[in-house]
Amino acid sequence: MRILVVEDDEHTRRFIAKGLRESGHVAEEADNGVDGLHLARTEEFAALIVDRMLPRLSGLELVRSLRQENISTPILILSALGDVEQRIEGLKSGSDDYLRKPFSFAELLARIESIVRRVDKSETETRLTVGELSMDLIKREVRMKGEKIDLRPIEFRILEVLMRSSGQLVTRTMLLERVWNYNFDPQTNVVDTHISRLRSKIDIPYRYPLIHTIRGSGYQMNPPVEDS
Amino acid sequence: MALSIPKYFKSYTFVLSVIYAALFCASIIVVLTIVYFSAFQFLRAQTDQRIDEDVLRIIASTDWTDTRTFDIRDIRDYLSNRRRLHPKSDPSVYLLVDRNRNYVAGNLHRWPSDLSYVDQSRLEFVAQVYYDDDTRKNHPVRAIVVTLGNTGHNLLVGRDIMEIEALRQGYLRLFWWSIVATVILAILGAYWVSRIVSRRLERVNALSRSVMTGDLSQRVTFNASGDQFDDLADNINQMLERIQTLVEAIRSVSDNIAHDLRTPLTRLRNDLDEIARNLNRRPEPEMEQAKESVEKAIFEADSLLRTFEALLRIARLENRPFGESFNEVSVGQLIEELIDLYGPIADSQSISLTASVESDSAVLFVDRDALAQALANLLDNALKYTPQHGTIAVEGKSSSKGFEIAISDNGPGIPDEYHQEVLKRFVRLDDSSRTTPGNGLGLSLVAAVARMHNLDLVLEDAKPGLRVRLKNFKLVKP
Repeated sequence: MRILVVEDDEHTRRFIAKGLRESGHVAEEADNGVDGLHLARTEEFAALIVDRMLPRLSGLELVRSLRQENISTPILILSALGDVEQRIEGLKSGSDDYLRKPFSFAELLARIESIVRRVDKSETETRLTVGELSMDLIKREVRMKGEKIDLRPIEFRILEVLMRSSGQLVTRTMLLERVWNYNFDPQTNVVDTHISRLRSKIDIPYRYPLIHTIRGSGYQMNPPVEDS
Repeated sequence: MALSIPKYFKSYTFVLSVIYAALFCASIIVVLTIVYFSAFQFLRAQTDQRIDEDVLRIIASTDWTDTRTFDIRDIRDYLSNRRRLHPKSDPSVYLLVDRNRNYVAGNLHRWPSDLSYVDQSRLEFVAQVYYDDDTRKNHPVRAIVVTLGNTGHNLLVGRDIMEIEALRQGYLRLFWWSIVATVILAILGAYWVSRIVSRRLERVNALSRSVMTGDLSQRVTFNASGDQFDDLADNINQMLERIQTLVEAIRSVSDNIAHDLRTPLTRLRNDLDEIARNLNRRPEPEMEQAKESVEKAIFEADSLLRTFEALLRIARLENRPFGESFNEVSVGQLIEELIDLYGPIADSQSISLTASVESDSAVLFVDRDALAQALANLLDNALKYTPQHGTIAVEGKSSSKGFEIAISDNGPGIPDEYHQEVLKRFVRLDDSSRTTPGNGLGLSLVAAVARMHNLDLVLEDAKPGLRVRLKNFKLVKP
C-alpha cells in the first residue's frame, strides 16, 4: 500500500515511515499541513496518517478540506490529546480512526489495515466466515463445523470484531473501543480474560485454533493451515 | 422546613434593616410624644391664663375693700351682660352659685355635681353650656372655682375647650397614623435595602459557586459607583485573576513536564519498538535473551507513559467545569457493561461479582467515559485486594439527594485514618504493595471524577472490607 505520513516531528515521522516500509508498504512523507494536503490532493494513496497538530494547517483542517473535496482516502489521526471529546472531534472532522500518542507500531499498522479494509469491505455483511467458523449476524448465531455455539452477548461482539478483521491484528485498545466503547485503558488486562473465555468455547473444544495471540500487541484471527 | 420564608427575610441585611427601622420608629414616637406634651401643656397654660384674667375682670366689676364686702349683685349683673356675647368669639363659661349651690347667674345652669372643689382648684369637666344663640351639649370645659369671701357664694369661671380637645383628638389620630405609616415604610425600606444588598452579594456568591465548579474565567460585575461592594468585587476579581494566572502557570508547567518527559520517552519507546521488530525477524535462539530484555524495557516505558497519562488525565478532569462533556447515561447499562468487562476476571479468581441496581431505568447526567474509568478503577482495586472466594458488590440506588453508586468488597479494607490519605496521588498503603501492579493514581482519579461531578466520595468500613460510595449523582430520570 502507498501511505502518506503527515507529521512534523521528524523522529515520529521516520519511525512510522520506516516501520511501514519494513512491513512492505510505500511511505511518502510531509512535515506540514499544507504540503500534506497538496500531496493528498494530487496523488493516489491507500491511506493517510495525519498528526493532529501540524504547522501551517492543522490535521483536522486538512481532513475537513479533503472530505469537502470528496476525497475519501481512509485517514488515521495521530494525537497527543487522547480525551474522548478530542477523539470525537477528530472523528467528526471526517477521519476514520484516532490514535493517541504514544503508540506501538503494531497498533498503528493494525489500525491502518483495519480502516483500509473497512473501506474495501462493506460493513453491512450479514454473514461472516473464517475457516470452519461462521457467524450469522441476523439470527445472532455462531456455528463451528456446523455445530451451534452458545455465546454470551459480549463474547458474540468480541468474536464479531475479530472475524471482521480476520487475518489482521486487533489490539487490546481496539477491542476496548469497538466492543465496550471505552477510551481508557483498564489497569488489569481484562481483555485477555475475555479472549481466553472465548477460546474455551471456540478453539479448544474443536481443536481448531482460530484466535492467535500476537505477543505484546493483541490478537489475530486466522484459520489453521489446512493439511493437504 | 415546613415554613418557607423568602430568602431576603432571612438575610443578615434584612435583620439589620429591621433593627434600624425599629429604632427609626421608636425615635418618631419619642418626637411625636414630646411635641404632644409640650404643645398641649402650652395650650392648657394659655387657657388657664385667660381664665385668670377673666376672674380678675369679674372681681374688678364690684367695689370692694376686702373680701367681706363683695356685692354679689354687681357680679351677677356683670355676668348677665357678659352672657350676651357670641359664643364663637367668647368661649367663656360662668356660674355663680350661693352657699347652697343654687343658681344665681351664668351660662352654666347647674353646678357640676360630681366635682368636689376647694378654693382656686382647677377642674375639667363636661357640661351643657348655654349661650344666647346656641346651646352646647357635652362640651369639655376647663375652669377654676373661686369662693367669694364670706358671702358663701362660689364663682366658677371657665372656658369651653372643645377646639383644643378637637385638636388633641386630631393630633392623636395623626400620631397613630404616622406610626403605622412609619412601620410600613420601614419594613418596605428594610426589604428594599436587603434586596439590593442581597442581590449584590448574590452576584459574588454565584461567582464563588462557579469558581468552585472549576470555572475561573468568571468575574464579578460592578456598578462602578466606587462603594464598598465595588471594592469587594474589585478585590475578588483581582484575586481570581491571580488564581487563574497561577492555575494556568501550574497547568502549563505540568503540561510542559508531561510533554518534555513524554516526548523523549515516546522516542525511546519507538526505538525499542523498532529493535523488537528487528529482533523478531531473527530466529536464532541466542536472540531470545535480547528479545526478552527489549520487551521488558518496552513494558517499563509503557508503564511510565501510563503514569504520565493518568496524571495528565487527572489534571484535565480536575480542571474541567461541571457539565462539559456530560451526557445522559443509563446507570443500569453502564454498570452492566462494567460487570461484563470484569466478570471473567472475577470468575478466574473465584470471586463473586454481583450488581444490583434499584431502578434500572435511572438515567444520570455524567461524563460516561470518566465515570466508567472511575468505576473500573474501583473494581480493579477491589479485584486486586479481595481474596479468593470473596465477594464484590456493586449497588445503585436513588436517595432524596440523587443517585448513589457503591462498590463494596470483603477484602482487608482500609483503616479509617487512611480514608482521605489514599485519595492523594501516588499514595499506596503498604510498601509491599509497591510490588503489586498499579501506580497509586487509581483512587486519585476516582476523587477527580467525583469532584468533576460534584459528588460526595465516601470510603467506609464494609465490616469486613471496603465500601466506596459515590453519592449525589444528578438524576435525569428516576
